[in-house]
Amino acid sequence: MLPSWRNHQPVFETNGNNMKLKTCGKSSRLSSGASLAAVFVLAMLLMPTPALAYLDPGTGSFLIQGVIAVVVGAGFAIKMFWHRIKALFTGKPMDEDDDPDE
Amino acid sequence: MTTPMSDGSHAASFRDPSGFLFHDKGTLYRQVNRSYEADYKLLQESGLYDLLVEKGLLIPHSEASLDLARGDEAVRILQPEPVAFISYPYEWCFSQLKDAALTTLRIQRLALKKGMTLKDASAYNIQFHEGRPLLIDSLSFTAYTEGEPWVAYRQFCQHFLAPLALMAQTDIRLSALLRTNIDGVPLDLAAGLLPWRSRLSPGLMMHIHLHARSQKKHQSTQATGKKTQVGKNALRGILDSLKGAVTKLNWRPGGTEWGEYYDDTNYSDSSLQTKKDLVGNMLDRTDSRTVWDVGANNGFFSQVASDRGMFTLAADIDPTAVEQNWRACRKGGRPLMLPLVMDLTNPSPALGWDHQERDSLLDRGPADTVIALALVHHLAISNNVPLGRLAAFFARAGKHLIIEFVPKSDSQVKRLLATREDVFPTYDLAGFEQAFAGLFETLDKTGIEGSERTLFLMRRK
Repeated sequence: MLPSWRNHQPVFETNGNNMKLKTCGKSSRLSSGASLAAVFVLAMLLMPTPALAYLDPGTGSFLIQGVIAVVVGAGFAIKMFWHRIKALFTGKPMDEDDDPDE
Repeated sequence: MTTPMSDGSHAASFRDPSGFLFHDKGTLYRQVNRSYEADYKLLQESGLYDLLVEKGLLIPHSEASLDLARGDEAVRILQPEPVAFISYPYEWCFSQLKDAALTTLRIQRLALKKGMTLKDASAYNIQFHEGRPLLIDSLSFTAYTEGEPWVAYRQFCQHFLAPLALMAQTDIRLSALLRTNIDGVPLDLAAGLLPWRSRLSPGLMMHIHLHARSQKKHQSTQATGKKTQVGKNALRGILDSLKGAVTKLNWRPGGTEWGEYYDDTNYSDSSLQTKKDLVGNMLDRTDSRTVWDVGANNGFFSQVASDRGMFTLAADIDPTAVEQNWRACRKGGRPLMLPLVMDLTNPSPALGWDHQERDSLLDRGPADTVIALALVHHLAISNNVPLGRLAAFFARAGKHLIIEFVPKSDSQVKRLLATREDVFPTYDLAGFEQAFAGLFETLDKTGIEGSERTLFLMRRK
């Protein structure tokens, strides 16, 4: 038997069109063709251009990065801010790769 | 060395369409294909190439003539600085793999600063060159687009984080999983083998356990995950989190502190020095550039070769001894030494597609000289290898051989025979010399002072 969480696939994973609507946010109630097209174009513009990737990044690996980004992003920003303040007073670079010439 | 393909390209260089390695008249070149032209230009113009080379993180290259091109896709031909010996992650001790991981993350951080990103994070792209880990694949970079997740994140976790966590928290011998899984340790396997306490580490929880669950959850869905947005700052946060997770992983054999572990030897300082001098005198007669010290322990005698300016592979089965050697190398002073974990009774085989992606140990030879000290009894008695077969192996491994014969009267051999029947009637000095005489010419033979052991210098016939 599949684990229970297998039965709770988010909408955007089961249908390609719905996925685009969902990722653009708050547009799932739009119904007219023009609005849909506008949202689609906007989604295409917002979407990053994939790099020349010869590796399969793996869907699960890509999606978990989005989750981890939320978890660690804010903490990292605070850490960097703190390091900058410290560097200001001590005059030392934040780490070995934070030379001013970079 | 691996047999080149019909067009001269290296048999292991086929995954990335950006280019490939090939040999021409014994020199290694890297072709850059048209599809990678823009990224190659960016690597140079952004200053990333100079920055990484200056920091010793990327192999330097020069540009060679396009006349060497294989096919009409070529836009550049690069000639990378040669690496003395290509080693593989399943041959590295814990800290070598850890240093390679941190090097990869550092390169990715610097790449992001210059508007590029690593498109792969393969442990096989890192090599130890002049005592330091560096990236050997100059075509690993691509332009970074804001919002894009790291395409090599999965590979980094499989090639580095998972094996390091398993080695540190489950069993050091699990580095062997890198030998059976050519694209790194599958994360569900790692998650299952790691102890429960690994979940208490936020880094391991996110990058291995949750990552494995996410992979399993989405393995059969049609979604590509390409809609996932990760801002540059958040991506730097992920890299910082990976760095933290790797840095926190440590391995201490049997809970001991480094330094205590190998101080206790059976030899007095003076007899060790005498043996060192004997080995050195023999090495001086070989005119060697490459030396393989097999059964090198912590590299004590390997230094005799590396101090003479010879590139020295110091291979041992004991991950603790190799770890200690690598830590000494890292401190500096041993740039020509490469410590590796290697079980000579089952040395690294040829692996991967068509058996040609990763070379066997012997495929990477022969060495000018092989040193085998205090080893013969382990191979002949513990592993039942007939002396004639030992001679045949060493004849394939090197042109010269400095080998120590340890007789049955030696306390170490007595210990090996204490718990088993002695089925080795020809294991004596005369039998040893006879077994090697067919393949080797003895140039020198001398008793080691203060022991019943004999040291030989031989040359392959």
